[in-house]
Amino acid sequence: MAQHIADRRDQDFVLHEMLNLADLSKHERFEDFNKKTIDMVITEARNLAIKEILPTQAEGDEVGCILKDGQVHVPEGFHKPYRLFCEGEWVAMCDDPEYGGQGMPKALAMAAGEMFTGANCSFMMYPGLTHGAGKLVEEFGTDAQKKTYLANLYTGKWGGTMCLTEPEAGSDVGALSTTAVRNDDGTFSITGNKIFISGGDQDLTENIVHPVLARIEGAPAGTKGISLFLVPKYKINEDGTPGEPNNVECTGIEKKMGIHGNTTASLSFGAKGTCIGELLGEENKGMKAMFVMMNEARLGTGMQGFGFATASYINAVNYAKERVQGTDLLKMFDKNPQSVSIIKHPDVRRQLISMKAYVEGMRTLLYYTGLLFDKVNLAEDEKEKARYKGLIELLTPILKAYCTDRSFEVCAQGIQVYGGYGYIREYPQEQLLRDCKITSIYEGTNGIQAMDLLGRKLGMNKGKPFMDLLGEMNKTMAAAKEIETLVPMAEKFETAVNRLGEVAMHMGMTAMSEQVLNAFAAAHPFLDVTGDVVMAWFHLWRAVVAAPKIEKAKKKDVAYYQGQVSTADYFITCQLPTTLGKMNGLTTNYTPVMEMPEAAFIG
Amino acid sequence: MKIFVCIKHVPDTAANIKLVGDNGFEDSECKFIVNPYDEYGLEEAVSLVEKEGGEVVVVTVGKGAATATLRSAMAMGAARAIHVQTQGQFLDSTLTAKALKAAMDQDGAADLIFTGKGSVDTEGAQTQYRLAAAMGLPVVNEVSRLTIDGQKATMEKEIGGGEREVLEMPLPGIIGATKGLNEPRYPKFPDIMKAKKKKIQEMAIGDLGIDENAGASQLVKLEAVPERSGAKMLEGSVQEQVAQLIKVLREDEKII
Ligand SMILES: Cc1cc2nc3c(=O)[nH]c(=O)nc-3n(C[C@H](O)[C@H](O)[C@H](O)COP(=O)(O)OP(=O)(O)OC[C@H]3O[C@@H](n4cnc5c(N)ncnc54)[C@H](O)[C@@H]3O)c2cc1C
Repeated sequence: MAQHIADRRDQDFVLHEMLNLADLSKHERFEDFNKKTIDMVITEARNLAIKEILPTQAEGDEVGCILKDGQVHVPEGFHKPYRLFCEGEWVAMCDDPEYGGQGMPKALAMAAGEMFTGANCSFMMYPGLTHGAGKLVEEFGTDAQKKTYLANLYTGKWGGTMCLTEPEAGSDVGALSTTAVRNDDGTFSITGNKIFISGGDQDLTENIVHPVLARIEGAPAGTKGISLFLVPKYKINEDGTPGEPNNVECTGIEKKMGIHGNTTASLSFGAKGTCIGELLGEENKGMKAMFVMMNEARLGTGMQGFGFATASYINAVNYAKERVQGTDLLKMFDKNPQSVSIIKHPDVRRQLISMKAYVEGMRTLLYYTGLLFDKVNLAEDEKEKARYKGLIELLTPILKAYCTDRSFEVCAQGIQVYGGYGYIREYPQEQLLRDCKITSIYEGTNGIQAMDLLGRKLGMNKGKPFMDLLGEMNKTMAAAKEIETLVPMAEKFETAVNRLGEVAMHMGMTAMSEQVLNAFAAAHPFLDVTGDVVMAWFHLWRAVVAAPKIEKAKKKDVAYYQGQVSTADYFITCQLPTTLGKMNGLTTNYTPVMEMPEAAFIG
Repeated sequence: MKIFVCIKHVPDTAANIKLVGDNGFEDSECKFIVNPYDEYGLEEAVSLVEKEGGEVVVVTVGKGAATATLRSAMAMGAARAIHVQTQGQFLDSTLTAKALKAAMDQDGAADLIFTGKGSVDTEGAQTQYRLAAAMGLPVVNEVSRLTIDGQKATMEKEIGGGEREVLEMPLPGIIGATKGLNEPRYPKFPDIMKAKKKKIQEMAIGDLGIDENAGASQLVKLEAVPERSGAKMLEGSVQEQVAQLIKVLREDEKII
């Protein structure tokens, strides 16, 4: 059967055979989520994604958003799926039922999210950011704020955004200049300009709640003086309904490379009259609060990148099976050789297996990280909880940057497999590539993610999370060594894990020495090799699960399980040596990067 | 108001069906869905009950795997389900109707029964009539518009050429739903969760006194639809096209 967006068999494999997600139902918190329910949730998410959201993807790209008389109009086709998505109560999948959430395990939400995001990322950003804004209110809001905003956001009745970026404040959010002046009634008047605000204006919802970072008059410079405010597009009446405009003006929307269906708005606050904001959380603690949303958004961005990759991969496989071109290499000299589908050609196969390896590896990383969140919630003592939290913090920059970088490459291969047709608008592949690019830029560029990994996460808690990660890898390695056919793979993996440990140690030391700049020049490649080893780990884990099942598997599963072992073999045997080579590069300290004079870049 | 909706567990029309043996197919590899026409009936039933109160009960006759399909139907709003279990993949429509009747009789009379106008797998479109005959109820098939007023249903069905027939039927009765009747809903997340806890009453078809191999008709053979040869476009003026067409029919196809 032709599949769309994501390979259901592989989703099921990760959820049920690797992560044993249904085991969570032994705990009261998740008791409703047995295997059948999990399957049904994914089936229904797939249905909605494929039937209603996917068909809007091309329209989103072609029509894009339109700004007319100060109001942004999203592509017409977005309205219906937005309504269905909200009515279906998919906006707050994992949140506390007390606040209108569905209490779903995060690992499961990842699988559902893959379907939705892969169907149309630009569309999904509207409910996605709305949820993020709601999360901020849930975590930091007063009871009154929760009452006013939370249900409206978690049901998608109102939209949400995140307003950090200003012309002078991009990666360095602390440089922002939007100000807040205290009013007598305890509210604040907000003045300033934000740019690049996703979903900053739209006509899907009756109101939009902007969490805005601003500096209260007289507050310290830099990130220490930043506070967070809730600024609605329309002021809220006593009865909770939207009222007068709040002087949040959309002054322009960007023309851009991809994600045309999602508005990227310039917003002006308080230019033409008072714009009222409510303080959310404590004064000057805005950055810390915003990190709650940003951490969620970073995982979300990794998921977005991945969504493009999985869709591109599925399309490429379907296409390669159907496109007939060229003859079998072995029958080249036959008199009348028959043309074959391109999936028969070794070079096309090479691309497909590489796409498969990254897609399946990334899928595991996403769901696994989701499961870590669930384990935090179920942890019985503080120590265990801290361990899972540490792993999440460590994996977050890897998940964000590695998934988005690799996904862009997967999308490029996805075009290549189609040949000329891949480059043509009529086919979906080129849009996926264009849309994907933004994911390595926003939510903290991948360069910033790499610095986070090297500068904060690696040495965090004296390196405990990193050691914990290697510990998890060693468990899989030990299990692989118990299976005869997997021993050679396990040994190669062992070499890579040990080497990663050494390289990490080296990087950590260099970062603390006078060679700190060299270390940061190598931060991104360090993140890359770490990500590679994480991929290899998951592939070995997959092989450990699949290999023993091949013999007794049902007919339809035999090829799937064999594929797991072959993909692991491909990744570990054919790709991992490159990673080891890159690690050798890393221990040379990347000295030329900083040694070369700046004047030399253009002679 | 109590409403039965008869639903059939059918392979997804997008599924790639692999034939096995003479008259079977590989059903462990293929995705199954609620027969799309039955979904219109289900949607109608659920919205009626939402308005007027009552209960929607879905009934299916099929293999064990149909449970998943019943759960989907319950996520769309049915309160409970009855599953008459068979061993075989195909059941003759006389037997299906018998089994449905027996199961419904056991459960107690309803005010209204929905079926689809036919099923997308075997496309027999007989069950609703046979059921009506067996139950002694009126039946209208291919209904694309419905209003219920007390004990009377007013329905429209398309009869081709853009014309519609308007029919009235006293209740209880059987309605074969088709496209246009409504837009079936997507289940809400909380309803998916609730569906898991709803009751499915299971019974073997044998326990209803029916021998599943004793149908009035028998499925002899399943064959893949032969691939069609490419269509030929005729060109030129109407007269030239007609001349060519006659030539093709006479000489190539030897039909005239
Ligand atoms: C389509 C789109 C949607 C967006 N949506 C939102 C949104 O909803 N809300 C919001 O607040 N923002 C949003 N943004 C803004 C986005 O998050 C920023 O563009 C991004 O953080 C980078 O900031 P910048 O563009 O100013 O680039 P710069 O900060 O100028 O960065 C330029 C380059 O320098 C590097 N760099 C900068 N500082 C450092 C450093 N200290 N060390 C190493 N390298 C550094 C960066 O990695 C990058 O490669 C969006 C942007 C786009 C294009």
